[in-house]
Amino acid sequence: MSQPTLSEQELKKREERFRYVDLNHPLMQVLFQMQLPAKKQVEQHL
Amino acid sequence: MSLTAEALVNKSLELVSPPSTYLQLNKLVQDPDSAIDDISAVINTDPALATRLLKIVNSPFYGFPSQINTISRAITIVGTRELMHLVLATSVINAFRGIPASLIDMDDFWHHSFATAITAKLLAEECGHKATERFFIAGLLHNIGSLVLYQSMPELAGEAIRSAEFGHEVQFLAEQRIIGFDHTEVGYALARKWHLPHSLQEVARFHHRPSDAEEFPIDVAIVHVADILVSAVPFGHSGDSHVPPLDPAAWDLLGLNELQMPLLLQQVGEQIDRLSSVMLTQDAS
Repeated sequence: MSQPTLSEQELKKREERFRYVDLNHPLMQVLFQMQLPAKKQVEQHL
Repeated sequence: MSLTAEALVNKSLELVSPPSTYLQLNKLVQDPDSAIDDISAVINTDPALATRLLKIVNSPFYGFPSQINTISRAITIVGTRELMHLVLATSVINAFRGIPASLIDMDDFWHHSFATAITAKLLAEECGHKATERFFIAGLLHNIGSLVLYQSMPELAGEAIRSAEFGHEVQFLAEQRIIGFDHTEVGYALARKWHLPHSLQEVARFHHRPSDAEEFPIDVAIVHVADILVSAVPFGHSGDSHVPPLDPAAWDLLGLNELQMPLLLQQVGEQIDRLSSVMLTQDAS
């Protein structure tokens, strides 16, 4: 999985989604940086 | 006197049918004298359910090379436990069809649940478990309490969703503040009322605080992590717009490498549409 090249808006969305997690944890770091194919992902909720 | 989770579930049961076929099957499999024919006879008393099960086991999600035409054959191929879980899943999906779309898109809700089910099963496999079907159903039903809240108190549940969405708190804390209890307590009360297996009761109750699990810490930890992985992508939408906080002890309990997770989630992405399409299709009958 590649490192994300996120727009500023996408990064803001992701930061909001991960607002309540500890980003110092190795698992959360991997998940925060992960980019999967966008198919069927639901992004409109934030 | 304020409303409790148990009282809400008792009230909700007037609207929601219990999974009676599943409960009958559960009794039957505990009887050492029961045979496959007895189990298939129970399922066949509900032709709509039998048809739905055959559609599911013949779907690309299972990908069996030849057609399965009877419930007896399905039991032989898929296994009694897995077929029973499909009965339970189908019954729950049908029981909660009346939730208003203005509150939550139920396709998105189930998409999150199916993704959690697949992820839990894959995590269990990674952890070296052999019989992984129980993790699938645990993932699928972990938010069963949310369904009761959405169905029975849509206004307050909607307030909790909006409160969480606009960044004040995670959803279960918003529910506690607004309603007085959260979906985990309601899920536990419903699972007990329906006499679901204790492992499912614990997952419904503790998936946001896995360190409190009593009898089934591994099941709870796996679903806790699966829920977080699925919310991070995100696959679907359970009502919570945020990734729930991770309990590091639950992650440590699994003994997995975090670098494996993107690949695992890619596998989930490959399976989820096949599962959703067959589970959510409404029969014409």
